[in-house]
Amino acid sequence: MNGYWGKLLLADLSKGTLIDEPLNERYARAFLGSTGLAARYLFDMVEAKTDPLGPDNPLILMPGLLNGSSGPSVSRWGGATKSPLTGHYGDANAGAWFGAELKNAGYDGIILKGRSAKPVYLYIKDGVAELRDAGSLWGKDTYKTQEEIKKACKDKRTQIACIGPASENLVLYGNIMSEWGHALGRAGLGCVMGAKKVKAIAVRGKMKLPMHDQEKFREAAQRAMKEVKEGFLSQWMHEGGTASWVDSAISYGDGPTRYYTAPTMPEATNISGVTMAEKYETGHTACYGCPIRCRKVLKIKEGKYQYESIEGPEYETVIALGAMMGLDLDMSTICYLNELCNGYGFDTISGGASAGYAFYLYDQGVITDKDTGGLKLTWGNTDAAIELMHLIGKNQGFGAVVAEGTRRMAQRYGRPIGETVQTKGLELPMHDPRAYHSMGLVYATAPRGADHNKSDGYQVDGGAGHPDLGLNAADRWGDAKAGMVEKSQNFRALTDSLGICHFAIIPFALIVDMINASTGWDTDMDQLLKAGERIFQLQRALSCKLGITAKDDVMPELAMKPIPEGGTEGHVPNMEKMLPEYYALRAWDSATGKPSKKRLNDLGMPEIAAAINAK
Amino acid sequence: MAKITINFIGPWRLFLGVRAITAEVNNIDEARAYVETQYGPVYQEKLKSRGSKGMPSIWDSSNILLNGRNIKQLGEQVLKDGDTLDLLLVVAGG
Repeated sequence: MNGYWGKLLLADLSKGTLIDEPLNERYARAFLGSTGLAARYLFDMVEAKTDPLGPDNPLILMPGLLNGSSGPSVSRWGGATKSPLTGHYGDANAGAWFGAELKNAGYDGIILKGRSAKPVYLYIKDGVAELRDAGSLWGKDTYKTQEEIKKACKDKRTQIACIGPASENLVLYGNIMSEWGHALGRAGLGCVMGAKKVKAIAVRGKMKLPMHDQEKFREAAQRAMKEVKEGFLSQWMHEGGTASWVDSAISYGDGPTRYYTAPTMPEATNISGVTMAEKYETGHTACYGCPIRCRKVLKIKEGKYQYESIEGPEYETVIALGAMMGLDLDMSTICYLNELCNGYGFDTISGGASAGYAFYLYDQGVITDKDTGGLKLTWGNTDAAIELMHLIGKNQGFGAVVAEGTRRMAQRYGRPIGETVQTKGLELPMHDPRAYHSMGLVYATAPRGADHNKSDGYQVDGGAGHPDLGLNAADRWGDAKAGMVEKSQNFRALTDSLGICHFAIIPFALIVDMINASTGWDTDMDQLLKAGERIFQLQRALSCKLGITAKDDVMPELAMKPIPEGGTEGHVPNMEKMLPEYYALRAWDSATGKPSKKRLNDLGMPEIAAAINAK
Repeated sequence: MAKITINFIGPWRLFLGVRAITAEVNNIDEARAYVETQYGPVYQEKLKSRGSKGMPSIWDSSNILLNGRNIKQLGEQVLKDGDTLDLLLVVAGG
């Protein structure tokens, strides 16, 4: 089987066994890799009653189809599980080097089942796997963990995906970290790993993946590399990184501030990617095979926390740990906060948003110092925010409340659920739907809950959508968004499963050439986009299987309240118009929210249709 | 003639080393001509030197907001004292 090894590693942690399981080739052909393929396997393995932190909930980690190859910016890998935060389908996507190394180590994916009696880590080298004792690593932060495992493996090029104390302590949005700050961030995949007592997965691989036509692949990859290197988006991402969006977010009102109640605070420019580039940048780092090199290396010699060399935070983190709590931060402190969350190993988006909600409740007088253990959560109180992040990471004190996420916080304090800015239990990322109305639709319909990467509608309406997709920028406050959102969701489901970074604009023809040369398939872009739709609808079907209905496709009231000042100018998305149009395009039942039987059959998923009793 | 502020946002600022300028112009076309004359060559040079292709014009690669509204969604505009033009890139972060 070209382009794949044809095998998965199945780890039964309860029994302590590791087995090579043949890859389901039909699944691979239809769902490709990473989160697409992981979702298909997950569909077979979970039920509505599966306990997310129980031994029966699998954690499935898979490289993108193109991981480990010489294609440009094809480093993205992903995971899927039943989310402990949301209670239904959860997935996450990351970059760096782990996915490529896993592919080069001889596996198309890993399935963790059961629960180990004691902390372990999984070590894989060139097709051979073993479980190793992780007792001495338990309790260590994600940086120290990686350092010690690399020492133990006697190979600095070992790539590690690990959890920190947050996931060990079962923070519901605990994440899986790799390298310096790359995260399988959302939906609590790390928490599931912590519940299984798996501290880390370490991989090292030098195996050569079988390809259908190595030479044709090389030619296509070289042409694609040139396109990416010379691309406009690549260039800007290299110069400014994702955090260079902060300044535009201020203009557009895109960065939620004071828990969605204020215009984007202009002080956020002090920690933007442009400020990083102007004052602190010493270099860049890159994911595997990526010429864009968007990550910044900073040297900070002023402020309370100083660093000789540190990777700068991304846009989401800058807003979530800053403006969300009304914090006027310097670069030193935002880097410290980022390191804190990364070291403990929890999602900066859900962590920042949940902390922001705590600040909001405090401001509203719903909670007091008595509830917070003395923390004065007044807008802009940086010291309180730092202390709260520590408590979240340890899942202690008031941190234990915030560690459960905003939906449970509202339930605890008897608050209206519309006050929590989340969809399906997952906190919204830092692109305000009032700035880009397409994001209202994106957040309401994303299978795992609010997800700015399953359709980057803001990117399209900002004028930077993939040119081959034929989506033109439109009025960001318009309400004719259903078609654009559907198309871009399908496209992103595809690129995620292939492992292609969103910032790499690879012409469709070259994507097709690389895939055909790798696998020997005779595919084309229409078929690949159909695969993207198939993946998206599968993930939706899985969410429905796990309890999601049409009632859950709603936007939170607080994020739909107009803010007259600032970049959103009082606009709010017209969900009453957009959602029914979208439902029609997706063929989703207006009550159950399930994709229709006909649509699932047309996408080659009759068994999925039967499993969810689609009509 | 209206006295307006032109803000260079994000990577614009990075490339040009300027955050904001004031200009006295009558309308947006004059504002564009002003920016193109004063800063266009620097911008083009930095863009070209990094091998960017397909978007040679500074306007192709930018959005212009007049008092927060994208001018593509506005009709003919006469500028007045105190108006603000924001120049932003047509890209977004993650």
